[in-house]
Amino acid sequence: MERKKELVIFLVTLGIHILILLLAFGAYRVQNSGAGLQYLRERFTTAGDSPHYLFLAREGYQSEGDQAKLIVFYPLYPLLMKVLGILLLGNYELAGLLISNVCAGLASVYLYKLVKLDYGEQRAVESVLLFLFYPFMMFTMGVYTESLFLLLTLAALYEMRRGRWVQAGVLGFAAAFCRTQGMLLLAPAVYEWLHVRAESGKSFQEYASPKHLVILLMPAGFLCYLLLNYVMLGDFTAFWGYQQAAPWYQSTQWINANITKDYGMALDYRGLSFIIYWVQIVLIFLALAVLLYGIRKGVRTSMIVYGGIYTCFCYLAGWLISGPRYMMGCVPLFIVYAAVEKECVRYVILGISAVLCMVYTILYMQGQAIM
Amino acid sequence: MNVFVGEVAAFCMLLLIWTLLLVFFRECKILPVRREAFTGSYLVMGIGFGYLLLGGFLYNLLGGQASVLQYDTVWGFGSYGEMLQNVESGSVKGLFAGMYLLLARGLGKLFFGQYKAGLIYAGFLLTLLTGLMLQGILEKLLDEAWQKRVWVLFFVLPYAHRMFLPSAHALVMFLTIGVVWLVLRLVKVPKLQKEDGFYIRLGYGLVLTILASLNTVIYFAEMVKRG
Repeated sequence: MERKKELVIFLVTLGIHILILLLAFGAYRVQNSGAGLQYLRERFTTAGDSPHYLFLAREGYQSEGDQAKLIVFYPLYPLLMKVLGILLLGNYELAGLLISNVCAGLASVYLYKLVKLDYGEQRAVESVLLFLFYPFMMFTMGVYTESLFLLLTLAALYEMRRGRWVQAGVLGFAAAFCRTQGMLLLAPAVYEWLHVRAESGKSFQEYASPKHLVILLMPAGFLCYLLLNYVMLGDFTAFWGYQQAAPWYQSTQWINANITKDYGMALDYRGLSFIIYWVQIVLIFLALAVLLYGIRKGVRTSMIVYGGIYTCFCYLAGWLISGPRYMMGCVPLFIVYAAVEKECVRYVILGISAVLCMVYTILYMQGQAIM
Repeated sequence: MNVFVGEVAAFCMLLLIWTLLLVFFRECKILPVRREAFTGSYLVMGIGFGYLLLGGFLYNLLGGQASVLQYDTVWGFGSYGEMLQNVESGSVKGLFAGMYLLLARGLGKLFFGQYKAGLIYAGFLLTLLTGLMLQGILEKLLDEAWQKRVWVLFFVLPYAHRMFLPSAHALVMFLTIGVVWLVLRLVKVPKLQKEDGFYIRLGYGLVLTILASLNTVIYFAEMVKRG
């Protein structure tokens, strides 16, 4: 019975993807009646980072030349694309799209299972809907790491909640091999372990088991990525050099400096402000308020810890232009949503999110600078 | 405005971190953190933030236009200014000022070179800890109603605003309260039972408002004399 519901969640995810896509494409065609399905394919395979992932899947990492800079992209997603692409007779675009959409479906299933642990079936379903109508969810449809990362994160969080430390450790490892933020999963894992140990009333020696050490695999995913840097470019931190240079201009600064800069950019670049800068500013305040509300409502603290550390990490980026996309990975926000007691409030939030989702998907379809 | 929004965002993040820290101590049974510790912390932060806003407001009334949390402009005078200037070089005269600066530099380093913010964060952190220790002290000495009253009074005492500004006052208060707290953990003292009633409440309210007003005047005078 439960498997059937999970299958429904999976299929609903794919259905909603198609629905949003068709609606946004329909809206786009009102302006551009000549646009065909080819345009739709282009938007999801040639925009933003997609061409870089496709290159990595086709050619692999390069030791020299301009493409050596692609080392800044983590290897798990292009690796999976490579494997599936070979099976699909070299169609890497299709491989990327398939991985993203299947992973998005599975991520929804894990979110459903995770929320259900504490809040029951009905609220779990609503959380999944909010997740699917997150205003920047279009990145889970295209050739981006979003879906894979979300799946690995949600699965790792679910497994650590169930006390399955080995599975959590392996999934965390994969998440850290998919994106930098993956290694942050160690924080909720350690917290959850300490919490469960304290609740059990056992001493550290009584509670600890060698298999619990598997959670330390989580940062090892990042270490493997550093090793890849060394193998390809002879420097463990080569990626950081490329991150700091054009076109990424990345640096690390404390949040006050970054938000101050974002505010200035929002005033200077009004065309981009409602796509990037204001959204980033609103999102940090919203995320922090939601997480504090979550503490007040008794949401599992390990989840809040992940939300806090994830938000903090994302907003340390000195040149943050993909904040709205990154914040989709702050999955505890969807868990806290389930803790809202008043049903009408939950539906209002869901409605607002759906409206914003359509607005931003249409803008994305238009080719606006949603990154 | 942009500096203000940036500082508020960072402040909210620190608020979340602090709350999670308290929850961690409680849930993992490391320290017996009670509800009062949470409310006390939020009150200290609220009072401190209020003092910073007040300073910015006073500066804008008297000095010129600047974002209300722009430390180097609003508090760039006298001993505060000296501290703000020296935090990046790391040299300052005086034992307490030196210790405070060391802590501020450590925090500044942790926050990716935000030394000036580190000065303010250090004050907030020390005052938060002072507030928590003061709760412990008052718990030993007074009944519940008076614990809260005296605790609030402490934060409107003349010059209390300095605990949240770039100065070593927070450290001095932290050490002083810390010593008292430690002594009271070792010594058993009888709990004072205070009376309550119309005149007591009126009297307390008057003392509280007069002290808060006096402190505002002192703060205002500091800003006036800055030139």
